[in-house]
Amino acid sequence: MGKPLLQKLNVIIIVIVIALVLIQVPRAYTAEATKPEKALTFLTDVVGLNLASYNAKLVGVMENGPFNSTVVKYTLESNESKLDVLYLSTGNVYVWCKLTPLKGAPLFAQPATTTIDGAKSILERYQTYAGASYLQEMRNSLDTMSVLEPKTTTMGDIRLETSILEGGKESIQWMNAVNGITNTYDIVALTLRNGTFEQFCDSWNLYKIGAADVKVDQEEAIRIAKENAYIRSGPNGDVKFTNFTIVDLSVRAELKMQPRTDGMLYPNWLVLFGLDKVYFNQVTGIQVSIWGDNGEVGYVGNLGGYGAAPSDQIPAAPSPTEQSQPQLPSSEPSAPTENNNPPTTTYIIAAATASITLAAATTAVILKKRKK
Amino acid sequence: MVKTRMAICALLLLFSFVVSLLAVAPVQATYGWDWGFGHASEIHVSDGGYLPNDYELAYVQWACNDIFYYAFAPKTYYIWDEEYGYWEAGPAYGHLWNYMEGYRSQTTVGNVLNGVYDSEVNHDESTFLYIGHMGYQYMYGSQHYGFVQHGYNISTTELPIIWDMAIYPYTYGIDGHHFVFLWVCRNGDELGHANTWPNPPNPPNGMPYCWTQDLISSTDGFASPDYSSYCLISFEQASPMLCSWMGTGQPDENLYKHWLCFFYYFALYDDAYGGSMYTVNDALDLASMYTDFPYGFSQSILYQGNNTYWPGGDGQNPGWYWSRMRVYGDGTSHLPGNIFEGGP
Repeated sequence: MGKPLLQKLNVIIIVIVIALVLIQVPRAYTAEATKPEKALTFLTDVVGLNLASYNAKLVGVMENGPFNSTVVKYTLESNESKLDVLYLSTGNVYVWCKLTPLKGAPLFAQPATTTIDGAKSILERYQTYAGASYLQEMRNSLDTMSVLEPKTTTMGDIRLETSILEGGKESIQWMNAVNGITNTYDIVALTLRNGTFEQFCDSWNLYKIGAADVKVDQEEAIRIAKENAYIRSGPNGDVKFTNFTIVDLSVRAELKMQPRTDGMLYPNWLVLFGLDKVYFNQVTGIQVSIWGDNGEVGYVGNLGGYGAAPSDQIPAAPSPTEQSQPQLPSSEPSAPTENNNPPTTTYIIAAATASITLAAATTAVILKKRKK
Repeated sequence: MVKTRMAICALLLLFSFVVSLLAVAPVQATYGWDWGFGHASEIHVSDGGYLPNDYELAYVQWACNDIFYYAFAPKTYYIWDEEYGYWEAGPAYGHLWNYMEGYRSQTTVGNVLNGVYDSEVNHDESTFLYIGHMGYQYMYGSQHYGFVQHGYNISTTELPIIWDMAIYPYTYGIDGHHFVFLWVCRNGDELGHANTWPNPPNPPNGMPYCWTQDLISSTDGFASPDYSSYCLISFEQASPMLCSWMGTGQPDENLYKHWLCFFYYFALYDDAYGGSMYTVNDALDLASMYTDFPYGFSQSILYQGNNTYWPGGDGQNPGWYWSRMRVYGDGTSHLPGNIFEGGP
């Protein structure tokens, strides 16, 4: 091989090497994808939407969303389909996405044949997307199903709930129910409509488990709650009214995991009491939460609703002629009446300003006289 | 001597300030405006009939103020001035009233019905929020639903309850109220209907029907919206007190009051183009997530239902009664936000 040929070959090899390196660069070193780009990636890679068929319009991006997520909203439109997409993500502990069809059916790259197949595909794609190991057990749990029917299954600490909802909807939810305690925070959940994606949420690692040993049983929790129950009254709720009667047959207690101030989950009894009558015009019950791991009182609050008002007088029914001719104000636009009654704060500021001015003037006069 | 005089002056100052506060504290106030253009919104409360206790009333007032000041009031009407080449701005909600700004509500039958009619006739799109007690009575051949006015100015000639059939003639043929939220017991029990044969002279019933006539058809506008652009939210059976804990997260952060304020905040959140970014359903989801239901509204205590205790009376036995929030009509609709007119 001649020297010139060798030199040419070296140049070609160097060019090829540089080209290969450059091809790899975008994956490794380009700026991180923006939040809206990540949303589109999720729609393609996990939801399985055929984005090539849609014109995607970014409606808005909101930072500091729920659980410190970023909220992204798109409207996707094609000739035969239009849908809203709401996508929330913190990047690692919380992902939520929902499709709302506005016209036609959503266009998927590969439409699922059954609900179970659809769910399996979505979970498989999400596991590839997120790389989360905890998803494997959830995927396995679907392998034993051929048809989705309403039931609850427990696999160790994982509780699987499947349900059929109205309007052709079906839902699947995996819950991190440590020691069998209901945990509404750490879940992976999926809703499908007619076998296709509608909503997804992964909040499996939203909260860490602080403790899951229940040292206070239901009976003890109710006893502690009764001892500590009071009705909150006064504008600030700082009046603790205790002269009431609890209806014993009404007492209910439910154990759930709840977050404490350290940001971790602990077992918590929510005890509800019904009262013998309506107190303070509205209060018909009391809610008390007791921590199941140490028996401490977490919260005491009022229960009640906006019940019936006395209605001993039957009003005259409006006649059909009255219905079309209401006796009402003129249809002319009313004159601007901004702040007809100035708010209390306006009065306070005005009065305070006047008082301060008066007092300052008095002080000035006194000091001036003293100097003379 | 100097120190004594200074002390007297300081005390005089403090005393006058305190007296001035005491003198003005009981002033009740309705706050708002009506410029006769743009959108319309009214916030009403009954602190009468059965009086909410002081604790609940404080939360209701807090919620009304937050919704008024942080959700509706900032929405802006922009008009492009061709001559000078700039945007002139005013309130997008040209009709905006908060009848619970001050110490006590100013919600009366007259104020409600006049406001409904004015909103319908003089404004583009209207919304309405009411928090308070219900009216519930079988009459004129069907079940009727209503909400009460505040309890301090009930005269012998003025009925204290605003019934569904009383709303109907004021919205008839206009249909300007696209979003109505009634935080009231039982006003979400049913869709309602016109009373045709065998009761042709009798009035229609049901809040969803009476606010919009036959425009709303879905009884679950969250899961199955009817795309009508009209939506009414209320409660089947009991509506909870705003001061009660929703049972998730930190109790003092997740009261029904917080959920309600979050809902309006998100329903009127600006998108990238100045309109409202979120639909009613989006706002329901986001408000629920913010009160620690990670899956959204469908997981929340409001949509799934809850039990409220009733100690007996008014024809009902003591016991726990199941209740839930109902969304009628179109959950994909938006509350109107900023308005842009003209432009370069």
